[in-house]
Amino acid sequence: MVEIVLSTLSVFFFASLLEISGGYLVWRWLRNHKGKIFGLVGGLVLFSYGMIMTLQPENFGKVYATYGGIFVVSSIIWGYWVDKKRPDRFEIIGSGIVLIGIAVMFYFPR
Amino acid sequence: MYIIEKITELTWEKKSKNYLTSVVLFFLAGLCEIGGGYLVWLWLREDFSFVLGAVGGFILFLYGIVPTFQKIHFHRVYAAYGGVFTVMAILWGWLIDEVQPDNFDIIGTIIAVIGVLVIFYYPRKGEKVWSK
Repeated sequence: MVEIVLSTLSVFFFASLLEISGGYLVWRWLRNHKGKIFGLVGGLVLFSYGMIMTLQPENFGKVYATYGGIFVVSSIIWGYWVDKKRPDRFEIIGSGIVLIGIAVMFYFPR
Repeated sequence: MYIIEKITELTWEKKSKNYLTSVVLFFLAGLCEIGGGYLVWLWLREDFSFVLGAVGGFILFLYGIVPTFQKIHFHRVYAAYGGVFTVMAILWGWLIDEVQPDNFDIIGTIIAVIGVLVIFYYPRKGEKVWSK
């Protein structure tokens, strides 16, 4: 069980890293007028995000719904690291609740 | 009650147009992300042709373009997107992939949405939700 939790969580967080960095590269291309190569690589990174997601041992809806919760937590972490916005108490409490929700959805033994 | 007042106040604010555009863009982004991901999924998990996977990859690329139209950039807004995304994914799995979510999927989704509501709507002193 522990191994499954660790491996699936790693895949989820790796996927969110790919999604955010792929999106960021596309952003650099269109908003910061960097070369097309940024857009191209960004697109490929986003494609690989979709491929990584297929490694999860569950059905599509459950995998993507759980990923939404991971994305919530990643956004808060991203805000802290990149925007230097320290999460306030309710962001931390809310993230905790989100994690409980996805734990029920993805990890509760059926 | 405070939350309802706050929402009403926000809806009537001048920024309500931005708000609507932002919500529509997030919805569109979610559709591209889930739709593109689904086509890639069909390719790798359900043995559909690579062409479908490549189209999915392209839609994921389009997903990357959508947020560049967003005027509001705020990590908390993206957190809210995650919540919307969760609900959309459950619905997609149910209606399009035709796998019915079980009770724990539904309960988990509801708990996650409550968490997002705490992050997004819990009133903070002297702070507007839609700060730039």
